[in-house]
Amino acid sequence: MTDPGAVLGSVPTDASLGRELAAAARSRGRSSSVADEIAAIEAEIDAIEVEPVETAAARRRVAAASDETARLKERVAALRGDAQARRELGAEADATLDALEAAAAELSAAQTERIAAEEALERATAEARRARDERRRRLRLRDRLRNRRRDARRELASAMYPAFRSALDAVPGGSPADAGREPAAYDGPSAPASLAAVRIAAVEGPVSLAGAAAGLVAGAETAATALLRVDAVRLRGAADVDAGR
Amino acid sequence: MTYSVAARTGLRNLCRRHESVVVRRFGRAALLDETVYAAFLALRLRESHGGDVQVERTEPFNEFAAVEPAVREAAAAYADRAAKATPYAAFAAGTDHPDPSAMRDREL
Repeated sequence: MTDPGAVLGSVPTDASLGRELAAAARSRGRSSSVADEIAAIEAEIDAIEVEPVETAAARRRVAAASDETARLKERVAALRGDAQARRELGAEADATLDALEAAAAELSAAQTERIAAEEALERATAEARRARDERRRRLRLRDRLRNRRRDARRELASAMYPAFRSALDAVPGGSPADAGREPAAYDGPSAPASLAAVRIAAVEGPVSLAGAAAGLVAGAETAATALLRVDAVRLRGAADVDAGR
Repeated sequence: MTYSVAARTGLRNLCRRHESVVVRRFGRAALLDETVYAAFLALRLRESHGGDVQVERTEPFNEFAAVEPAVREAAAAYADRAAKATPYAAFAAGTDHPDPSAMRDREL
């Protein structure tokens, strides 16, 4: 859950109107009807431990064993052809036959290694599959968490909407006529909307204003702290907007 | 296949940027071309997201090479059955059609 002050402590905020109003509601101690569910999902996600499963070494071993087997098969075939040709010509074939025997033994060993490597890869793959089931479960939970958080924001923002609409009347540049029935229907400029959100929130610490919001408040007759109902307001010129954020 | 929000976003971006290598797109998975370039892109995604990216190679399925005639015939006969509510196990019982658990135990 985002700290309300982090959302509303600085205007312009980085947040949508819905997020601003949800933050305002939270600052007033409200929580949504899905708060328990959100906490449960978060706990479930935290409890998931996904061990990284390393399967690259097993794949590399299989690839190497396959290459070696193929190479030795070729060698055995070549030596066999050679030995036969020598025999047909009546030439001395003993050395070739010795080499053939050695290569065949090597091939047999390579084939054994290949089978072992494939079995090891199969085991690693099965383990990786189990780990992926956990990753998949975590991803689903995260998606659900995101949806529930959105539900919570909508609910909280809707609950604050009547107060927000009234507050638009009190902040410079704001007009309740822009509000509509719900946060998504707000059709006015964003600076007065953010000011109204701050006004209905219980923000701790100073609120800093820049840009259009600062201009609106500076031009108003009422004191900034009374407009926004906060302890302290800092106005920043357009020049130090970047430095201050 | 992807297993995290970031990896899923990465895959989505990959598919958008390299449309020509994408054969099919699913929610958090995609089927890519059988080219070295597609493999390269998949490896890049896995380098970025580690275990949250699974790369598998698919193979076209040829039922005439992979299974014996009895399996194909059973599938056709079952699709053509008179009683639509009959499960396959009941359908196969007492006939020459292969038993489902026997098929389950046999690797393709």
